Amino acid sequence: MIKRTINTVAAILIVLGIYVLVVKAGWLPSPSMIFKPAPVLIDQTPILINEIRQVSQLVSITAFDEVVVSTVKPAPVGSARQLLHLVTPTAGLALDHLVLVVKGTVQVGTDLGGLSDQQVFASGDSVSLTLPAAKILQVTANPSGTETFIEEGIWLPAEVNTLKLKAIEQLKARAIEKGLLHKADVQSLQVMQHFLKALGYTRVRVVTSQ
Amino acid sequence: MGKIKHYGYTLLMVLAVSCQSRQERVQQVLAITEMGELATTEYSITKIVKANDNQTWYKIGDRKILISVEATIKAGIDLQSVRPQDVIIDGKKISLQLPEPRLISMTIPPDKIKVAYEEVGIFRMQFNNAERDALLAQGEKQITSAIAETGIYATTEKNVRQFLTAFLKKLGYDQITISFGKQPANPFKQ
Repeated sequence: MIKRTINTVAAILIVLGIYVLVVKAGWLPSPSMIFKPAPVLIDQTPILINEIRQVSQLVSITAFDEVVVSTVKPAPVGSARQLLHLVTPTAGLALDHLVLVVKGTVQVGTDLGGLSDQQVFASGDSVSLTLPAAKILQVTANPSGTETFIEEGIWLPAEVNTLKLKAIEQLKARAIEKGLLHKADVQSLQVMQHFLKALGYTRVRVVTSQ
Repeated sequence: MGKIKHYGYTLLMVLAVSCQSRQERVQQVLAITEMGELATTEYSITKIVKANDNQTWYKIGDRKILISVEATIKAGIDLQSVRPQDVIIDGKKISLQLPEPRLISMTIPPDKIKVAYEEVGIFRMQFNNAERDALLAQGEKQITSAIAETGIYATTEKNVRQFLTAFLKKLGYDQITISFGKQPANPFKQ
C-alpha cells in the first residue's frame, strides 16, 4: 500500500517536473497564462471629419496635472452590498464607490483671433502690439490618462462622464489657482516679442490689454 | 472554545482590513511647460470604437460593444522656433520660413463619448468603466496614428499662411511669401 502511494507521488512529481521544464522552454503555456483572459482588441474603424474650424490661438503654457475625483451612490436593492448592510449596519457598506485618478493637460494662452488694426501699430523699426488677456484654451482629460482606482457596483457611462467632467472642472480651477493665466500672459508677450524681433524690428513694445 | 477564538480573531482581522480608511491620493501639479505654439486649425472628428470580447476560452458567451467618440484635434506651428535667419525682408516684401505644422492637442471630451450598443451574454458581466476606458485608449491610439491622413497639416499650412498674411499686412508689408519646412531660396533675388 505504502509502495503504491510512493509510486503515485513519484509519478505525479515526475509529470510536474516535466511540465515545469516544458513551460520553461516555452513549449506549453504556464497555468497563469492558461487562465489569463485574452486582451480585448478593438477593430480598425475609419475616422469621419465632421467640422474644420480656423482658430488663431497662441498656446503659451501647458500644465500637466492629476486630480482625484470620487462619487458614491446607494447600492441597488437586493445587491450583495445592500444585503450585507442589513446584517452589519455600517454606513459606508451600502454605497457603491467610484474613484478615478485623472491625468490631464491644461493649455493656457492668448486668442489672437480678435486682433484689430488698433492693436497693431508699426512705424519704421518700431512696432507696438496689444494682446488680449490669456485664457484657458483647452483642457484635455482623455481615457488613456484616466485610471479607475475603485469601482464598486455598476456605473453607467453617463454617471462616469459626469464624474470626468467634474475632474475637468478641477483641472481648470487648479490651473487658475496656480496663477497660470498670469504666467501665460508673460509667456505670450515673450513669444510675440521674440517673433517681432525675428521680423527685424529693433524697438518692440508688446503689452496685454487688461 | 478554541474554535470560537479562532473565528473571532479572523472576523476581527477582516473588519480591521475592511474598515481602514481609503488612502487619499496626493494631488500635485506634475509639470508646467512654457511654449509658443500658434494653433490655427481645429478638426472635429467622429470614430466608432468597436470591440468583441470572445477570445477567452473559459468564458461562456461573448460581449460586444460599440462606442461613438467625438474628438477635437488641434494643429499649428511652433512660433518660438522662428529665428531672424528665417526671415528675409526687402522693403515692403517679406519672406518667412516657418517650421512644419504639428499636432498641438487631441481631446476627447467625456460628454462626447456615447455607448451606442452593448450586448452581453447571460454568463458575462457588463463592460465596467476600466474596461471601457481601456478600449477608448486603443481608439485614441488609432486616431493619433491616422491624424496625418485627415489632411490637417495641409489645412494648417493654409490657415497659418492666411493668419500671418493678415498680421504682416497690418505691419505694413504688401508682398508676403510664407514657406514651411525646408529652407527656401531668397524669393526676391533677381
